[in-house]
Amino acid sequence: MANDYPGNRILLVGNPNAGKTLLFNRLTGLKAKVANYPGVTVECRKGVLQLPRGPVEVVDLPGTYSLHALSEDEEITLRGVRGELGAGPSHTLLIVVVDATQLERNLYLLTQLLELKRPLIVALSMMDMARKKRILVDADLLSQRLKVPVVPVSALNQEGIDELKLSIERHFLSAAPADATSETKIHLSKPSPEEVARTYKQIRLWLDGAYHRPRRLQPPFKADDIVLHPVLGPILLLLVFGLMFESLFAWSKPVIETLEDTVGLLGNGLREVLPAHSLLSSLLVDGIIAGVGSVIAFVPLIAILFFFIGILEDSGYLARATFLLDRLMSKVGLSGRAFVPLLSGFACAVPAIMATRVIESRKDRLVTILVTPLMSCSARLPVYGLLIATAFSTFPPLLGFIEVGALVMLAMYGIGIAAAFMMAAFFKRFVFKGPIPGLILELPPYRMPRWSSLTQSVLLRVRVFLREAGTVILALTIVLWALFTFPRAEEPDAQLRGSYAGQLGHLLEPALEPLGFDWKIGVGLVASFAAREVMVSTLGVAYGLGQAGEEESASLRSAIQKDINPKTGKPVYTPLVALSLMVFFSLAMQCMSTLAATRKETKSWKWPALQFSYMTLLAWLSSFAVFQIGSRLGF
Amino acid sequence: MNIKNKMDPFKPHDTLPLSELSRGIRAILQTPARSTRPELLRLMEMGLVEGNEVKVLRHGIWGGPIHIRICGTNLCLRREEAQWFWVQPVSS
Repeated sequence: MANDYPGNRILLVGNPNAGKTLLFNRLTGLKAKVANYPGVTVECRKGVLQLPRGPVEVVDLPGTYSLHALSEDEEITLRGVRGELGAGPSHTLLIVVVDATQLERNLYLLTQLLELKRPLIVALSMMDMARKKRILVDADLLSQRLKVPVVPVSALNQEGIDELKLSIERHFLSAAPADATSETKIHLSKPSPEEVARTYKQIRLWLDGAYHRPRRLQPPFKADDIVLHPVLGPILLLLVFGLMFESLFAWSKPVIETLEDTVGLLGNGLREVLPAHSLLSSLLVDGIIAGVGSVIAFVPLIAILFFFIGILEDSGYLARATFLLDRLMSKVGLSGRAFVPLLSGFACAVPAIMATRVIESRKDRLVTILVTPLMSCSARLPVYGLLIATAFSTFPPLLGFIEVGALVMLAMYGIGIAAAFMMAAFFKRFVFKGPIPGLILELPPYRMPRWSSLTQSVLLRVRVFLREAGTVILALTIVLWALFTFPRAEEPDAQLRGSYAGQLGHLLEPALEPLGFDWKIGVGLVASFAAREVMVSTLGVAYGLGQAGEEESASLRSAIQKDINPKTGKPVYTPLVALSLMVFFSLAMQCMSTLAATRKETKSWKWPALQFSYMTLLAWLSSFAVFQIGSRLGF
Repeated sequence: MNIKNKMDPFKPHDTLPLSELSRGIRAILQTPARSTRPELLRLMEMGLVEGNEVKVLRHGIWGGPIHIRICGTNLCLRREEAQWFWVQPVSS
């Protein structure tokens, strides 16, 4: 579709929170495409404005306060206005979105853009808000002084949109055709404090007589007095995040279960139709359909999480949360915004890693992506449950009422959290060296989220996930299927033993022995690469129980308890072994979907490889320590 | 920093760093301290320049960021960065 344009294009520029995205939606209709800018992980929104004489491409550039870029996002905007983005000659019109309620600060970016001497229209946004605050703006006077068209708009109620479109049309009709040499070479030198001060003086001159803010009567009570209160603030924060977390778990469950049931039905249906026990049937049902099913199972989690994040962002609360958490997070060198992905990691690392887009600094984002999988995700729960029930159920409760099993569970979560913070500090200190970026955080006014815009961006994000991560997950599922299916055997447990996966398990045994594991656990670890909870059903097969589905299966538990290690003569699953295995599980990278998500977000296989390596090493060492020390102590 | 202040004959005696401005007091910004950190430029571009008025709305707990009002906007910055900016309280 991009080839149809005669090279006419609009770039939307402006401060963050100035209403750029809303204006973008009004101009293009809710049909934007989200993609990545070439070579970077910053997102780009593109749409089409239909004018009477033809379509014009509209690009929403990341919001910035100044062309002196501090982050990857802002670099994109700088390159965009310089004409360095996009192929081929284009006739570019800049629309600078300026917030009428914060005109003074917003004009700083405009002064930089005016120096570019490129065609430009000012869209004076938030006019409805300005009227409510009884702010007066004389758009015509401003237009005279700035020597560019100034169009008041209010994207909320469509006011001014038609005038803006007229202004745009007028520009493209009268302008010269696309010129390949029209790239502006601008040199942005760092201004001195005096120069910045002079710019603000100029801004004040422009606004004198054209802009009036009434002296605000401070209302007796402002929302931030509670939201940022030293005691009430953190309490509210806990409630908000608790709610988010709870809904991630609770609301996604029924949807995921329905999805899994549907996939199961589909699979069974196919099995009836196809020749029984054939390779084709197995490939289609256990490989492809299972793979597609597992990808789709992530969709509710992603959708819910991004919906929540969207509400937090749009409403302005996310900035307040960042303010409250900054001190804590900066101690490990993380951005306050890393809190949302880390918390979401307790549900599932896949959407959590995608959620790191809220972190502006690239290094911080990478570190957060690397450590998020250490937060014990919900897929580890069935394994913890099985092992605790197997090995710890016979312990008498501590102090008469505290279940040992519950303590162990809590310990596993604690280990995950501690490891995440420790590794974050380590990475920030030794790998991603550099000064801790300062905090410059604007607290935007509280606003109601725009539901249609929000829904649209959630849907877009899901689509991108399916396209980029989903394909990788599906491919890996088929590979794993092959490992477990070939070479073929009659009985399920002989099949497991003889398959490539089983052989892999045997091969790994020497490495797993110091941790207290046997080859069956090894096979389980290979299988759980597809999804951690698969460990349980794989163990079921390994113990000759066929396809054991339920983790609470008493038969699996008793089978495991009775298993004796042929080499030591002792039970395989002593409490120490169970502990060692759980520690391994909590720290190891055993989820190919997570790796796929990391690859998608970082656009490189380097980082998933690093993730896999360091987590496996960490898991092995920790498990080793637990088992060896525990053995010496006589457990 | 306060010692430096007392020794500088060009700074009036009640100038103080923004990080030490009390809550609710309005002040006028003076020339900031020199620093090569990129954050200094950005903070100036957000309005922390000589002649502009600033007001502290709250201090974050346990050494957290400072919430200020500048150029009609709400901005938060860390104490370390707030120390660069000298201000002169306005007698109200």
